[in-house]
Amino acid sequence: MSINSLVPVLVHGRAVLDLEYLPVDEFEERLKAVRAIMADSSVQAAIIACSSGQYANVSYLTGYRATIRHSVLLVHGSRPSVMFAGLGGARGFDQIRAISWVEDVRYYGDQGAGARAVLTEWGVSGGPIGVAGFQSDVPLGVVSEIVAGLDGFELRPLDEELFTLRRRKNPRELALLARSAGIAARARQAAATEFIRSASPYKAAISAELSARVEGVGEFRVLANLAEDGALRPLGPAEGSLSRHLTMHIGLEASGYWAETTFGFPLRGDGPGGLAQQAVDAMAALARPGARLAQLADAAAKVLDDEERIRFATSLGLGQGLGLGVENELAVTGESTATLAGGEVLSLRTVAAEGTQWFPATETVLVTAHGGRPLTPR
Amino acid sequence: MSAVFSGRRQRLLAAAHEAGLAGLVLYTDAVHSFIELDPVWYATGLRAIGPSAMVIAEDVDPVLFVTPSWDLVRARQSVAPAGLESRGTDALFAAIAAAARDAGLAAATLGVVGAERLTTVSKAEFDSALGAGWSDFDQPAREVAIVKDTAEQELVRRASWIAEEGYRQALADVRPGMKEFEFAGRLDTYMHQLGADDNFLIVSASRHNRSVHAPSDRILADGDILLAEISPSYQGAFAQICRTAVIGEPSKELSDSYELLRAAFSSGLAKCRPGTSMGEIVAAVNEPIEAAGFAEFCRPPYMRTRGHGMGLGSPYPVSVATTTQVSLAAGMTFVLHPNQYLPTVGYLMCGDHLLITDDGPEVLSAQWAQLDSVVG
Repeated sequence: MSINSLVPVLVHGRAVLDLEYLPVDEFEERLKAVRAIMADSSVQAAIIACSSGQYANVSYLTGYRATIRHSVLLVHGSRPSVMFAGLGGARGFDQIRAISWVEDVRYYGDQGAGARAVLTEWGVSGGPIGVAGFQSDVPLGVVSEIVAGLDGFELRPLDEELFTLRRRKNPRELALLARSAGIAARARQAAATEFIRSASPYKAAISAELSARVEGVGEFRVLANLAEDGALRPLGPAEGSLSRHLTMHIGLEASGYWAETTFGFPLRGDGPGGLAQQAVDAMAALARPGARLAQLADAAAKVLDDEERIRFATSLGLGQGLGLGVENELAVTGESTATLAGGEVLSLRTVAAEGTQWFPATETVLVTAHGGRPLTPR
Repeated sequence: MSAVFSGRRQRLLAAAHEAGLAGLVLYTDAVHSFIELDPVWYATGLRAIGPSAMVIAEDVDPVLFVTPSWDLVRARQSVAPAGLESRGTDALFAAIAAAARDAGLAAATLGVVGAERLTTVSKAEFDSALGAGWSDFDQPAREVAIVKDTAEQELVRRASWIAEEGYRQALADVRPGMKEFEFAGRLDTYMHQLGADDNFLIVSASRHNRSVHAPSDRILADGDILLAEISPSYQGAFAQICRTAVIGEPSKELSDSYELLRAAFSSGLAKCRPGTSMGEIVAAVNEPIEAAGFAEFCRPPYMRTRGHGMGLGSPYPVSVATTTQVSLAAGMTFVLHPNQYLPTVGYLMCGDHLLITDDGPEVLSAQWAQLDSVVG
């Protein structure tokens, strides 16, 4: 269970380049850091591909996220970046320029021919160039088209380097993540208030959405116990049944940065609910530089102390990194080999069940030397 | 509903047989696009929230494999009307490979619908599990779904109603001082309340719009022209309406300009019947606008398309543009939108969703696009 699910066909909330929170110098610094990576890798240019579902690298450098199709960003060691986006209509360019730091936005029917044309303009005619997003961010057909246009170039993957750059959040990013978490907390409160009034998880989900949207989220995704079986479902055509309890998962994005929360109402501090919270607390306590994510998963399992409970909780996920999207590189699993470096933001989660009722607990924490520090007050 | 989905699977399978294939893998990565076929949705009715797939072949009981496995409860409920069994899995491609193996289907005898969604990594995993040599069957599948069956038409009809009703409710809320994104948020939430499960929604405003774009912090004020491209999905079927509202009293120039777009809509609509080419419709839409002296604004960079198909079924007729080599057929649905930039009043939006029948077009909206005005 994560915001990976329910990707909408278009980000249709507030989607603007948020210069108040992310002024131009922020993007200049990011570009400088990427150029340093390029220099270390001895590449003159980098080509970064993204899609509407996997967009963090391009969004990090431009503020833009692909809408209905993929986008490609070309970065040079010193020249202004060029982005391929949209479907080629003037209307699309207006929209893209409104939400991107990049001024040179173009459309090419053939992305490979376009990439070659830009590289030629830059005087880059061969040798090594960096690439990112080619493995899993865009369909293979897009990659093949780009690669076909780059005959004679040596392609050097930069995915790991870019993620290393993004995983550590700077103060501006932390402020935005905390702001998103605050909007999620208020959406959660709106849901609880409506649930007290109507006993309807469906109406509670609608209230949560309205609360978040009028605060200016770009995206809002919600799952709730809309049927008697207690399983979480997306909003759909039926209002669902009334319930004695509410279980809800909210994922939302504001100014590019995500928050997620999974909660039950009424809250229960004992029994399964208490156990889920203890498991999250155990993971949070270990979230410090040098800790392996597998250790966090083990700590949660130790608290849950029951094979079936562990299986259920892990099937819903114990959490992952959070930033300009879900960071699955930092997924909390028993098999993970990743080690925390400090400065990452983790969304931690445990769900316990009793009959058809789910008891979730979540916490979003900043990885510090003293363990995971909650991003917002509980 | 069982007959609807088994009918769709049979049509896909017949096309596969015609292409010399024994069966098909239907795969979705669950990243939905409103202009791309989602084969799992089309063949089962499930709008998956994680990668999901199934094998279909003659004399094989189809099983839908879904991820994440915790979504199985919902999946089972969703596909039960389709007469399907579903199973949760954490190893989707291995499950699909086993299903193909059990059915005696070698990779080389299979087509894959959804192949275009595979990434470098997932394609390698897919090949490793299933074996190489399968065929990409995306384009033939789109052509199978080109005509929407009665069940999908009814969903589109409902989506169109949601669009109109949501817009009507949200328009009642509009007031100077409201931010663009707040209007968009209310509009979106109202449509959720009416049963929408997704939305391709764009809302923006200006006194002279250059185009419509994603909602921003801009504060609505008297004299603003509010643009809305509203495309809710009802159970995976999308419909679109394009609307324009002015805050306060519209000027005569604005009213007259909007009437020009309505005339363009009517002119295009008159051409919308089985057999008509996209080029003929475009010419008909452009005719009144060109006659009013705005010919250059009917071409790029001001204009790209006069409408398009949409939905998790077939995206046909793709785009109402002169470059589209598709003729209309009964059962197609699409939005016809003479949205237009005019140098005098800016960009205006005007469009409604159509169903093509043997007798001609049916406009699915109860109230066709008109220039709305709200109290300033």
